Amino acid sequence: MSSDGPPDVKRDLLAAIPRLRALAIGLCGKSDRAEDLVQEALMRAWANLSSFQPGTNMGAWLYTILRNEFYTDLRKRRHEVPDPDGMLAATLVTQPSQESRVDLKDLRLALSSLAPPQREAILLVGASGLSYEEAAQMCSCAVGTMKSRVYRARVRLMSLLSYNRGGQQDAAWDGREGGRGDAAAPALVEE
Amino acid sequence: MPEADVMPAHEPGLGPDLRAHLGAQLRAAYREVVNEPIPQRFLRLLDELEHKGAAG
Repeated sequence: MSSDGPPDVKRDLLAAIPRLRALAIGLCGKSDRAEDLVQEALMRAWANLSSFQPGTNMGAWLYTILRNEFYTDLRKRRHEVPDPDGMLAATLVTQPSQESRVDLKDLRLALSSLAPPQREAILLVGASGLSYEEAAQMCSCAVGTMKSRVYRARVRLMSLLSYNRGGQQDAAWDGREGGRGDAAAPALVEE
Repeated sequence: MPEADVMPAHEPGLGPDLRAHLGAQLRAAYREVVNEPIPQRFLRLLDELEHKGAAG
């Protein structure tokens, strides 16, 4: 199949790159790997333009290509990476509580500790602002599954990030209903 | 991985303030990357693909 993409396809691809990149970086962290994923997705998209339905969302289509690579890649290197929670916790603890700049760094670190499907879910829904339905469709899962992933991601992120901050955040934590449901949040801090 | 089953009616421990804070942080981190200029390598790549496509 010759892939002589018309100019508007190139334009649409270009327009989709910033968001695609942001998702790739959300999945992999700021890394060559993230950029390589984007590159690969663009190449595959170009080679398979015939399977793109004009009028549908180019960005969503590109993302489905990218996530396929991401998960394939992940399966290949499964043995390399398992994130030791203890290490992450230690890193967070040793960082001084500071301004929002540091918050973002912590956030990236915390994101990286999530199981990939949860990380993906919170990126799509929480960060990029897609609906549960759109995100579920892009990930080929049920809407309920997507909701559950987002929920779990949120619980975990908040548990990772909150204890690292000053009194303001602690106050927010203290404001919750007394003692119920803590089992949902992984206990990273030893009393 | 069983995951579709855990969906409590409320979100224990997720105070609205913290939740909003997390949401804002997530969107900020995302936006930060979205607003970066498109790396040259992707611009070059698309040009190459376009020319290859046109030639082939």
